[in-house]
Formats: sequence, C-alpha cells, structure tokens
Amino acid sequence: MNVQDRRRLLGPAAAKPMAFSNAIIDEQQKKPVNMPSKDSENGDELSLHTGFIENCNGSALVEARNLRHQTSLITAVYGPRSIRGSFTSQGTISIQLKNGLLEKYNTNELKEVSGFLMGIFNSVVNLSRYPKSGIDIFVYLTYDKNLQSEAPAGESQSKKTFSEISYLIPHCITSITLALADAGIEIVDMAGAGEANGTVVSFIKNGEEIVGVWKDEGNNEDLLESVDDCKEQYRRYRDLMISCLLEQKSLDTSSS
Amino acid sequence: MMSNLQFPKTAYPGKLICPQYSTENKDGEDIIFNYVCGSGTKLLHFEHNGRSIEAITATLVGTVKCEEEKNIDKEEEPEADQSTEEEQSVDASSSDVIKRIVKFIRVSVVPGGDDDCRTNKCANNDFANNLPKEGDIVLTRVTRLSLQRANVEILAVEDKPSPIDSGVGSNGMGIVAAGGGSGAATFSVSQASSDLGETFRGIIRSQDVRSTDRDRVKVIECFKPGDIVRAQVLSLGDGTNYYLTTARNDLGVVFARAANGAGGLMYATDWQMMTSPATGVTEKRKCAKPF
Repeated sequence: MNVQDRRRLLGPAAAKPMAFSNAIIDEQQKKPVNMPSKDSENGDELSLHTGFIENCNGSALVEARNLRHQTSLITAVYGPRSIRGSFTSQGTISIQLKNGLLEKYNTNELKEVSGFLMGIFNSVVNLSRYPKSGIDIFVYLTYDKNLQSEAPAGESQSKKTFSEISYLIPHCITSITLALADAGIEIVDMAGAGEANGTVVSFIKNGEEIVGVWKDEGNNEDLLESVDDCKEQYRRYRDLMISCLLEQKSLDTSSS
Repeated sequence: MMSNLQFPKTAYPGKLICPQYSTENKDGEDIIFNYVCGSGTKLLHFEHNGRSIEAITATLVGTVKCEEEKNIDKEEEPEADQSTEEEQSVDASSSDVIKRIVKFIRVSVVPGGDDDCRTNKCANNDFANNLPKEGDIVLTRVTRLSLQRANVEILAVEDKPSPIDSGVGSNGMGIVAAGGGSGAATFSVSQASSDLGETFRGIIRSQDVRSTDRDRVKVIECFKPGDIVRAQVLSLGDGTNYYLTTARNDLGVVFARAANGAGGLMYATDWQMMTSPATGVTEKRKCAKPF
C-alpha cells in the first residue's frame, strides 16, 4: 500500500487496471456475409448481411444503390413468442416500419406499407406451424436518399416524395425474407419483389405466383410490362438471397 | 436403399425436394415411395406445363434428411389407393403378378450443415420449430397453485431444445411494437409481460395429476411453486394455457427444493415422497420415476 497517500482508497498492490478485450468486436465484424453484386446496366448494387444482431432471433441488413436511389435498412425478427388471450390456431405476424435518423416518411405512409408487407408475409410464412404464437418483425430505415432529386428541380416535389416509398418496398421484402430465413421460421418460398414505374409486384415460386401488388402514381399504361420488369428484378434478388443464405450456412459449418 | 430419387443435399425455402410419390420396379416388385412431410418442409401445389403437381418443398435453410417411416399411422392406410398395405401382393389374373411394396419416407430439412448431421450433432437447436404440440413431453416450472389446478410455465420441449428465450430476445427484454405487436390481435399489452418474459403457460388440472384415485388429488400435496415438473401436453388448450398431464410413472416433479424453496434439493424416495439428504426432512410430491 502506498504509505504517502492514505486518503485514497487504493486497490491491492497487484491490481491491474481494468481493460476490455476487443475479441467480441472482432467476432461481430467477421460474422456478416457480404454479397456485393453489381448490375452493369443500371449500376445496381446490392449488399446483404444476415445474423448480425445478437438479441433477436433473426436479422438482416440490406444495402442497395443504383443511379437514382440509395437505401439501407435493418430488419429484426422476434418470435415465435407466446400470445395470450383467445386461442389462435395459426401464428400471427406483425410488421413495423420505422424511420431511422431521417424523418422522411410520415407515419401513415409507413403504416400503409407495413400493412401491405403483412399481407405478403401472411401468405409466405407457414403460419400453421406456429399455433398460439406471434412473430414480430421490425424494419428500421437507416439510410434512404434519392440521388436524382437534386438535379431535376423542375419536377413537382410532391409527386416525387409520394412515389419514393415504392423504391423501398422491394428491399423491405428482401430483408424481411432474409431475416425470417435467418431466424429459422418456416417460409414457403423466398419472397421477393421488383419495382417499375411506381408499381411494386411481389412474387413467389419463380415468378409464377404474385403475392402482392403495390401501385403508386406513375405510368398506368403498360402494367404488364411493369410486371415483367418486376419479375426480372425479383429473380435477380432471389438468386442473391439464396447464395447469401447458403454462403452463410457453409460458413457456420466451417466454424463449428 | 432408401429411394430411387436423387435428393438435393442442401435446401433453402422454396426449393423443390421431391414429388409426393415415386415408383420403382425392382426384381419384379413394384416399390412405391410415398414421401411424407417432416419438419422444415411443406407439401405444395405447383403448375408445370399445364399439369398440377404436388411436391414437397423446403421451408428452411439446411440439410435435407430422409428416413423411412416404420410405424406409419394406421388411419392413413385406407384412404390411399388399393395398394397401401405394406407388402400387399395383388395377384391379378396371371402373368403380371406384381408384388407391391409401399414405403413411407419422411423428408425433413434440418438447419445446420451436412457434417453436423453425420456426427449426430444436429439436435435442432433452432427454437422456432419446437413449439409444444400434443403428445410432447415438456419441462415446466410451477408458478401458482389452486385447489383445482397447478399453473406452470413451459421451459423446454424434451429432446428438442426449445425457445432459449421464448422468442422474446436473449436477454428476456424483447421489444414490443407500439400497439402491442403481434400480440395486439388478442390482448392488451398491459397484461402481457411478466418478470420472466412471455413464456408459454400451461395448466395441470387436479384430475390430470395421476391416473389412480384421481378425484382425491390434493394439488398442494403434489406440487409446490418453483418445482420443475416433467409433463405431457394433452392439448393446445385455450388462448392462454396448454393443458398438461403428469398421469404417468415417468412424469411428475423432477427437481424440488425443501421448505418452499428455502432448503436444499430433494430426491425422490418413492412416487409421492421426496427427501432432503442434508436434513432428512421429507415432503409430499407427485414424483417422476427417476430411471
């Protein structure tokens, strides 16, 4: 003990200052699976990560960027958790969308989208396996920017902000599907969607079945053409999702 | 020889694994393979070239596993076509004496890699597909007693590691969406959370405690709050509770502390008595047969 300074409460002589190892951070940095892919035609870039949030049962991060738009969103899946009250023979899904740092979309708009997403995932998740339980899905928009909006100032601003959310919906669907697969919740197929002219069409079964259609203002003329465009995008996203999941799985096996 | 089909090794949601039936002719015998959905799969309807096909599809990411079903349910047999009985020989007119064998093969998708499965490590660790269902053995903790029943919370489903966290997040502090999340469909948020997280709950009615002398059961002489009880699921019950039973020798209290939790662990001495080795004190319980 230090004889000079008796006023302080000092630790034992052999005490060392406390330090946190950064081992945990290293592990977290290693875990995400990065799948950047580039579509040369319209500069589409997509990056998918899964299973990086410890606290929830499944999580996914989707970052997308093309010439017009850049966005990034995090999805967390909790459940199946017990729900009380009247008996439900099937699982119940709830989806909540949240503005991240930027308060870009108003609550009503986000609610509308989450209602739309709920409709899709009610038909995609194998709900009969989860009696008396609920599955809660949270989508958090961390970043969302229209890269084109500064240049053509002449266009009406209101119209732009209205249809902007339709860019977002396919990525929401991608990230929810990935997070559900990561959580090990049974889904009938990898649901995905594409966007064209303010129309979002969501598919399963290799584009044979449509599980959701979202129509915003935009060109109403050639809906069929939009559906084909959406289908093409859906196939690309689906292939990426599958390779991301399989890569993550093989990583998991090699580590254990 | 399991089947003539080449199964995919790994699967992801939406991957077609096999059709519902396949046939094979081997040494004059017709073998019909009937594929049954296991966990992680679902029988789905597909349209292909104008024909509709039923096929088993994966619903999880993982490794495909198939095993022959030995004890297929009896009631499944008559509803299929005439050749469903195992090894039924259909001695038709003359030449084409065909022996038909129907094999039931359960196809499932197990999360985890191929290596895990080979080393038998592939206990399905993933909680999501381990919800208690009828007939499952569960481990529970007694939370509340009344004259008619014991209320318990379900901790685990036996042989199938169940929700580490009951789906509330690993720290037991899961967030609930504004408006109650998925639970909002049926209940108000205020009544939901308990200190232990929102576990699945169950009820053991006094009639279901033991199989003999069941109308003279005193619940307080069978369970005490905090006891760990091994029970079987009778039914999914109502909205709040699973209905459980301990009316079997191997079901009942497995761990209990003496003096309402103040004393040490006790050991079962017979089916309705537990003893604390430290103090020698005995208490009444409905014990599970330890071995």
